[in-house]
Amino acid sequence: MSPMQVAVLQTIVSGALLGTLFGTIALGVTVKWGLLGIADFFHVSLTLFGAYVTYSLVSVAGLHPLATLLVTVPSFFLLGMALQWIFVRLEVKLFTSLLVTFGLFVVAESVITLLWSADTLTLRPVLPEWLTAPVALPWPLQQVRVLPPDLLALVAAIVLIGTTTWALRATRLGRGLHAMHQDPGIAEVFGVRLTRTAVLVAGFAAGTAAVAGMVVALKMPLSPHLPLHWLGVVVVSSLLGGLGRPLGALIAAVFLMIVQNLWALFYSPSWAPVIAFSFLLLYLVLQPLLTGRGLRSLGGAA
Amino acid sequence: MLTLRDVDVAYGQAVALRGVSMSVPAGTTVSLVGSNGSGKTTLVHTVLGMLKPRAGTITIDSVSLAEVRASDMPELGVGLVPEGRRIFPHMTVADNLRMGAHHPATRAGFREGLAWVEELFPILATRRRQRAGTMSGGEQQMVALGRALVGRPKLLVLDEPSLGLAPVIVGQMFEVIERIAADGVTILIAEQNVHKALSISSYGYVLDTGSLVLEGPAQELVETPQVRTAYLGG
Amino acid sequence: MIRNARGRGTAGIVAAGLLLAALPAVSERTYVLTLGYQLLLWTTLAVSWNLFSGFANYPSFGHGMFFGIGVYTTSTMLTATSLPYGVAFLASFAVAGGVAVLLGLALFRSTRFRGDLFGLVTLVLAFVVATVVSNTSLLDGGTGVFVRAAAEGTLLDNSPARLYLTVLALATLTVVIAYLIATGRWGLGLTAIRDDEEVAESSGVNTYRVKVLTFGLSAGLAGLVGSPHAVFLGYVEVGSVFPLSIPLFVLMMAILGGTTTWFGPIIGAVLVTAAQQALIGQGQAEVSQIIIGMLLVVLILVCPNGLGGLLRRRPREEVTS
Ligand SMILES: Nc1ncnc2c1ncn2[C@@H]1O[C@H](COP(=O)(O)OP(=O)(O)OP(=O)(O)O)[C@@H](O)[C@H]1O
Ligand SMILES: [Mg+2]
Repeated sequence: MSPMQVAVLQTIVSGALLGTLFGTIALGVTVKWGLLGIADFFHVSLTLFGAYVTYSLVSVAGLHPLATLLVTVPSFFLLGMALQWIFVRLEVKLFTSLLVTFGLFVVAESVITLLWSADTLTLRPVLPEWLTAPVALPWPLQQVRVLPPDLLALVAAIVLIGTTTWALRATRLGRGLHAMHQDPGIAEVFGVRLTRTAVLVAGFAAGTAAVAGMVVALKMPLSPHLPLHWLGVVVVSSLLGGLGRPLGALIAAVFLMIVQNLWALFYSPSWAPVIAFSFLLLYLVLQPLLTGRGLRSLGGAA
Repeated sequence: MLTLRDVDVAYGQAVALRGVSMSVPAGTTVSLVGSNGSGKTTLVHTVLGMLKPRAGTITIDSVSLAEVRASDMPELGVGLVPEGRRIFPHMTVADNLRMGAHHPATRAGFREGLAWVEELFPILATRRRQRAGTMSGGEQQMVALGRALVGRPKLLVLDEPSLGLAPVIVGQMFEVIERIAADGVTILIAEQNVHKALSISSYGYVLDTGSLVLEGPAQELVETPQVRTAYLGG
Repeated sequence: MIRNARGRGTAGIVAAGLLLAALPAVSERTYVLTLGYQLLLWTTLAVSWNLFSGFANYPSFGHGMFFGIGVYTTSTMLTATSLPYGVAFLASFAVAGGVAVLLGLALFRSTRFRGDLFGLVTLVLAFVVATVVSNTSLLDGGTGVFVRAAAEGTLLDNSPARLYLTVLALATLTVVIAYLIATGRWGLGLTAIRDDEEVAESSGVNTYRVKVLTFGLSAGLAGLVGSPHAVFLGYVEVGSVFPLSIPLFVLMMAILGGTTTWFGPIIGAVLVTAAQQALIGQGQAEVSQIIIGMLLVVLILVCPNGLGGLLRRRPREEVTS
């Protein structure tokens, strides 16, 4: 293979794997936005918060990186439930939720800076070798460099998005959630516990943020303003994938990151962030011309 | 089966029901008739626990509704066919029907209930995978009725089942309701189509701007001058 | 002798502005003038946001972007051309307003772009504009722009008093415009759009035109006040011109003060800015940023219809459906 071919292949593989991480982050956003009516920007900050907590648990408390999940997932689950419970109690509307989580998003950056400083932190030096040595890939990817955390991102995405997609389609909770989204009053008289369902789903979403945060901590250096760079991709892939459809968001995120990385390879990397937004604007403008199905036909069991 | 005593319901300051007392004995079909805005839907929603009465008591099989969550109505054996159908439009027919047996208390009987529903509406068996929102009005009403029946309710509450349906379909719908009644289900039916509703009921109540103004056996009610002039056009 | 009520109202606002113009004569202290500058700057931003986003209920997250466009228009014209400041000033209005008009022409063709979707598109565009600015060497190129030297000898001349007076004039202008819109036919059209767009259209309001023009005016005023702000900052860089906290604060000020009146956002802007200044005095900037942010979040959660809504809160409906 020519060096150029290797570079292109490398770019595509890295982009796709990074996309799976963003797909995992988008999971919580798209489910909450599409099915609970909560546009949650704060979810992205929560992911970074999870990464910092993982960082501290590994570097200070000396925990095994995977064992941190035993701490972070349950505590994030509770945090997500508590926040949603407040939203339910105060009967927060979609727009107010957007504003409130946007506010929390801005505040979170300051909180993280205050707790962990604005400096870049990285776990790499303290990680065991099996998490830092490149993975040998089969033909035709043997010249492509992939690190274990990249594969961890892939595994996390498959497990979490796979389970969620299945649960939304085929379980009682998933059906109840769709019913509640389409007509809460009627869903309730058929036995859906509205508050309990919403709180559980929000807890689950926060739990996935903890998992994504663990992957982030292993994969990249941490700094407080990361969510600002993620927000675009996460929101855009949630919208492109169809709100409430985690699998759609994953596919969109992988696609966006491949395109963005290829753009960075051939043109100026600093323009790459605009790619995701251009796709969204293009989609929003073209969407009425496409089929009637789209952003507003949310939900749907199948 | 169902008893209301001196029930008052209000939306904020606006009183919608005033001192309503009625009863639906087990195994009977009772109609509640009244014109637009008389409070039928309000009463139905109150019976289903979706609205809390400001005063008065409602009991179902001697259980007071004050202690029951709306989400536990299936456990009391109450099924609802809401006004305007309100099926879950983005879900398939099969999932809509499953929602009828969502409550743990009704889940076990789902297969049996589904078989019954598909016997009443054979067309639903052939449309299981269709998105309910894409069905015709009449078919949607079947889904709504089916959804209420798969949980095998003891009390079926119907809110204007004839709304927006062609006369032929209305006739078929009422035939099915009679068959359901013949299976021993207690039925409360709120209707503007007074004649149709009373024709399948044993007893009726007339609601006017939030208060019951008339009641009696269905046959006698049809004959009363008030009902004749007000609702049957003379 | 001014006879009609609107004339008297306008005269009242202008008189209040003239009264405030006496501040530099009372105190020459930079601290006082800067505080006044901040209060008036936020007032202008909140009131101009409310013109469209509040009156018509089209909450935009792009107001910080229009403000930033104004800042960069002025910084570029001052440093890259030898045109007088007045031209840069007017250009800031024109460019920011023009971008909004183009955006409005595209978005408002479809009524889908309301609520969360409109908010999102405007937010997304803010990211795009920030990226464009930081990648275009003429505008910024990622290095920042020194405006201070270029502003010397111009109308503003880096003088705190002149900056204060300029922003005061803009604040007065903005409030007068908001007042005239709120009490006039144009405002009725916006209120009709807020209540029900279809009804508004069928009762003779050209909703498309009203929305596009008002959005343009609202954005233009934000761009206009960005112009003196470029000089106020002295050194302009993307990170401090396009932070997310600007649209956030503007929205929260307007909502807390009340979006249905012309004066609500003034109250919100003054309260929030005063609280912010008081907190910044107390030690760490980071901590005060957190406190003010959380305070706003909680307030919005508890009274999404503003502080006024808290007082005349209607009894909760007993409906679960
Ligand atoms: N959510 C609500 N908030 C305020 N008032 C309501 C609400 N729902 C109903 N009402 C009022 O309560 C009264 C009774 O309404 P209801 O819907 O119960 O009448 P209805 O008999 O079902 O009428 P229809 O035959 O048209 O369905 C009406 O005056 C209506 O305006
Ligand atoms: Mg009704």
